[in-house]
Amino acid sequence: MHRNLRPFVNDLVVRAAVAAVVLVLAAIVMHVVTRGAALVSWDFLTTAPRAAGRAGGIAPVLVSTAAVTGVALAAALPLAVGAAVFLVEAVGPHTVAARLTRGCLGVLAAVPSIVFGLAGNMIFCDWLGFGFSILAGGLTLALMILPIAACVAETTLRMHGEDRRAGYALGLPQRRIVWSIMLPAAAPGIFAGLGLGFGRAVAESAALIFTSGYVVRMPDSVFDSGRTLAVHILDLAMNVPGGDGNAFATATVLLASVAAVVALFTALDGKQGRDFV
Amino acid sequence: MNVQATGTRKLDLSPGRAEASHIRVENVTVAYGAIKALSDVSLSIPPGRITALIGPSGCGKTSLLTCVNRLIDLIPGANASGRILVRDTDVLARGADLLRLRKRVGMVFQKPNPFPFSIRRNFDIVLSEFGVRRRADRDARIDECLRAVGLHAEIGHRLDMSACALSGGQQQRLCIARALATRPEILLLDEPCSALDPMSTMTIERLLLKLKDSVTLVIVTHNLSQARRIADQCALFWTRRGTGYLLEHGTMADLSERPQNQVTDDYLNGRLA
Amino acid sequence: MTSSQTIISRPPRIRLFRGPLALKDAVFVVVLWASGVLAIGAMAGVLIVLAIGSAPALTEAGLGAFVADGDWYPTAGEYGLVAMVAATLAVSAGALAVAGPLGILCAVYIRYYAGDVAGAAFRVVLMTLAAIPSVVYGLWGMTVLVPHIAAWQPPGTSLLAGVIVLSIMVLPTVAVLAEAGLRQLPASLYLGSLALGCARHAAIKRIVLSSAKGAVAAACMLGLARALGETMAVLMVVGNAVAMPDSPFASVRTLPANIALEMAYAIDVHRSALFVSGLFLMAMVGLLLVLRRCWGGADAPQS
Repeated sequence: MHRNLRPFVNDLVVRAAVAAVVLVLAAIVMHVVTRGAALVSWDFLTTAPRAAGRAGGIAPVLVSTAAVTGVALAAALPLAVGAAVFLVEAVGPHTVAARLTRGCLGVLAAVPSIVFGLAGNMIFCDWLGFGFSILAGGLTLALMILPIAACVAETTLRMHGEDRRAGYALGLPQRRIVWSIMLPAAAPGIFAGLGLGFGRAVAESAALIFTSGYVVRMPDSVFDSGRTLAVHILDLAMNVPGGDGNAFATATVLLASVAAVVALFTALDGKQGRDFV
Repeated sequence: MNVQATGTRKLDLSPGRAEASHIRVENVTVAYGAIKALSDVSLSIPPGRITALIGPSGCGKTSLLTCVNRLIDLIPGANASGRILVRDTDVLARGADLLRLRKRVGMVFQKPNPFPFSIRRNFDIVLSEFGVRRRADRDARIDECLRAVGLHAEIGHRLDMSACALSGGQQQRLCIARALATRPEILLLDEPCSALDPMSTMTIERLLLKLKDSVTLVIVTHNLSQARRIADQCALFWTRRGTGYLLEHGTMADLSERPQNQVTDDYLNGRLA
Repeated sequence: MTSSQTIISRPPRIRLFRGPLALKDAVFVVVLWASGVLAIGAMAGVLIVLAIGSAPALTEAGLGAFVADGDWYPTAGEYGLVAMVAATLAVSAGALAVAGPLGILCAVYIRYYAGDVAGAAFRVVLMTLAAIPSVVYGLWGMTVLVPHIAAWQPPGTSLLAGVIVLSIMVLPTVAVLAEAGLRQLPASLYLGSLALGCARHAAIKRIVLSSAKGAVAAACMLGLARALGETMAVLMVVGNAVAMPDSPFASVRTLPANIALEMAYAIDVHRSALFVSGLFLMAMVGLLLVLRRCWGGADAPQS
């Protein structure tokens, strides 16, 4: 009797764990959306915050978010693609240079985001003199998403080994093979990797609070400080009594944009079944 | 179809040079790291003929093939010694001009591998690199190449469709056409029909028989009847303790009717492998 | 024989100094190598900057002060980080204790229980969990979790709240990486055990999980590394009092939270002391990476 029950108990444990995870996700999303969705309106998206964010909308925050992530992706794309092409084309897979590069990217992937914040603050705000600015925040995020984007780009490029071989067999020079064959063929995967990076960047707050800063005004240029959605939520929740409502509304907007990215990512790259972690 | 239309120069097949070799393999040994894949092969491949490299799997046929256009360089740790003379250039020599060599020696692979772009772009990438810049000239060359492989009637009017949307046989013929775009004097084929259905295989075989007037063909095949159907000359490779070597070569008739080895006799008559 | 044997030893793909090379190709090769160097430089840069930023405090107070001082009053010469190191470890270890087993169960579910559709759907659930920004977890923790804990043991902002929030955040990392590890096992292993008459649960427990030990351990290590570095979600729910974590309901402060809380107004040695906090954090993560290398082997799943 006791032995016969064992398989059922084991199955039950597995299914209970899965059910718990699904329920927790549902609870969190439901809670945020039910408290936030009612406050999200066209006005909310298009007006500036008032009363430290308790009232008004998030227009400048949306603009800053787009600017910071835009700078981050624009800077990360060439860096990541360059590193990936380097690993695939310039060095053999098991050479010292390849292992060193891959090892460094691995360490970079494990660096906590707050440490990127420290480094970005010193390099971009102090040394390069950008101060608290969208540029400094974006470049810091670019460093942060470099390893993941490079890893995805490398995997995608390696999937096109056949095309690479065909190119060499035709007597094409390496430059031509990379530019005209490998990169266009791998473009969907590379952009999917960048989408992953976007998900990270738009969710990030710790690396931004002392690189792109807190300022809530509409930024005039990338040299202005700008507050992203995540930082806005943090500020409303921590520093503004009575800011909860708009914090949830902002969180709803943030969740919606992340969901859009996940959906886009799955559509672009779904068949490869890559992991969004 | 006149293959001359591809613009490939007619090979010198005058009787005086009939026995001259186009590719001369001298004492070639290939190793991958510590593993010797092919040992001490010497072979002469005549111009304007189809030479088939046959034998069981893992006896170094493909290794030899990839030495001729030095594609073996793409495999880390691969190591080739000996000499391979294409006309009078030693292609294994240090400092050989690989880009020129690969332009002279085209290659077609087991799995059709068109670039995942439009048919036109498959050619454009190659043609623009070799100095065919004007659109009209390029289109003329694309036409020639497609005609040479008999694809013109099928896809000549749909050059902007994706090459990956073609059938397997069409893709493989497209790859042959793409290889012809550099106007090579030699075409290496690595089991070009093994991924194809019998009808496509017949089409490709007919195509190869036509092409041999203008291009020297070297084909690796596991299909003995295919070798019988198309090959003028045949080289049988065998393996001894994991290392391939050349067992016997000659015309197909020589090998099957007057074999020098018992193994050759058995293999070609289906009593082995 | 005119020329003796020639050897191709290495792929001469990079022919910077050999043979005819057009200017364009030379530029291309230079750009290619520059990209590689840049990737290495990015990592080196972050670590070097961390060291440079830490230098003033380390020379002024000495490394010993950060370990030995009892309290954290960096403006008054007290640099004790031990309580925060302990709190960081406690929150992260607690989170892993919850998320580790749960994540492995989730991986087992995807691999051996769910059909194609259910498995794919559950992967989307995990992906969504991974994609939710940490401030949203923090906001949820502040407004739902903390009041619940406060009703039971005020004030509610506590180590326990941090553990719960963090375990939800770490779970997808563990689950997805463990699942990737299980996927790499040969299918014959599981099917073979079933064929030998093992029950499903026994085959999974005894055969599959013990074969994938390395990958599962590596997944947990990476989950732990994520937990150590998490800043905002934890900051929002743990209360941030600098104290040893002596009870699950105690208010604590983690190393990353310490940096985030004080960096805005810190100057001089105080600012440098925050870089030392970062250095300690990085050292803990580095130690984990080394452990993962030893434990999971080189073929452990990368992230």
